[in-house]
Amino acid sequence: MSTARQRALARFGVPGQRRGRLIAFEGPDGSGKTTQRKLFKKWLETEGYDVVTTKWNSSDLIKPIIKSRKAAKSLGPEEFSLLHAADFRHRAEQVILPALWSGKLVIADRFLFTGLARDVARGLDLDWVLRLYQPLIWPDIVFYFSVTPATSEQRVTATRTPGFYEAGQDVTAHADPVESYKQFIERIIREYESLALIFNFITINAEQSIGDQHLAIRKLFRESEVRPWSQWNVDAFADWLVSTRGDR
Amino acid sequence: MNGRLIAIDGTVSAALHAAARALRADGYKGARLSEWDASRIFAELAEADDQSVPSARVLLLLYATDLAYRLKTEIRPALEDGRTVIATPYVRTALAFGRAAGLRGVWLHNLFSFAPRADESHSITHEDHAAPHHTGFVETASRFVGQSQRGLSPDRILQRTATFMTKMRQR
Repeated sequence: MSTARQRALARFGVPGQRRGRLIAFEGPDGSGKTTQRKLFKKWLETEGYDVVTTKWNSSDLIKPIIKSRKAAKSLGPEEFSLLHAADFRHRAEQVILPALWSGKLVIADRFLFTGLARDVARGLDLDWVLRLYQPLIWPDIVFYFSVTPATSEQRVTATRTPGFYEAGQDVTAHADPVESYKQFIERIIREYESLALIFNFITINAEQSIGDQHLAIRKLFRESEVRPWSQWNVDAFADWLVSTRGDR
Repeated sequence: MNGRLIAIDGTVSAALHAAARALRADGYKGARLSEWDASRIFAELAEADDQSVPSARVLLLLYATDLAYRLKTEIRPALEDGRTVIATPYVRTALAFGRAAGLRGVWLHNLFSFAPRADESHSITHEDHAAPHHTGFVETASRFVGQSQRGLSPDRILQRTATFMTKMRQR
């Protein structure tokens, strides 16, 4: 067994040992997950948790590369998928894994499931996309904020016009972003619903009031047990320790 | 697709350029050349304000993005027109670099499974063509990984990549 793997196992493989926690917030645009993430973070801090937040497509290194290509509308589905996987991996290595290693609680505002739902909705193969994200990091809890396509469309278009890729205009070929969004969000939600079943998400009815959703999240979080990390996470930590001089 | 795809892989970019030029002079005069970083992702990475160092895995995801761009804009259109395309580097270079950095073959093969197999493959592994004006993927990525990965200097990763290239050629 490699030294890195031994270190990862020693840190996280023992039941009852103190470790960080990873909570993912997932759902389509307009599902209100960012509002809930902010409320949850505030509450966790009053409860004494040391919280780190990470958002989708936010690494300082890769985000500018994605942004310029989105502006030029030059990304094909594979490029779109690969760039977001690169952004995720860089954040995993620079933010998520170091925070978990030092015992912090990480809230991810969108996680790799966002990549899966969007890329499969663009016609890519689920298995190929999932493997891009290996070694997988598995959250303790995935809260899935469920809304209908109509609610998502209504909330998103109430204040703005969806962007070219957000509306899926690269694959629907609709000239009208709102019409394109209507079609694309249906596909995305269908993929999310499948992922929620496959990966055992905790579904939050995001059509409820903000307060009711927040109370439900608190309750579900309190009830969740801290189990030993899955084998997948031990592999992810071992990979990180080798590839980035983690915990140097 | 009617055209012919020729891959030239290797660790030293100057040697790859020289091999591509030789091929064009020797029977492939009208061949389309497709080179690394046509998308300019790595050029932008080199100019980034952020000083964090990307790992080998991140670099390979970016290499795959660049290759997807080359396939979309250069390689597939030329092949569909019945032309010959010389792709330098192509997939083997990335596979060898990934193995040299300690990544699993199964992950690497999945990553590049979107790229069509070349009709003809050449591997250039000798290192006597070093030229400062040509810096390719392996040289660039080795410098990054040398900073981030314990026990792997840039020279060591270049040597290991060359070793994996030779092994692949022998298979």
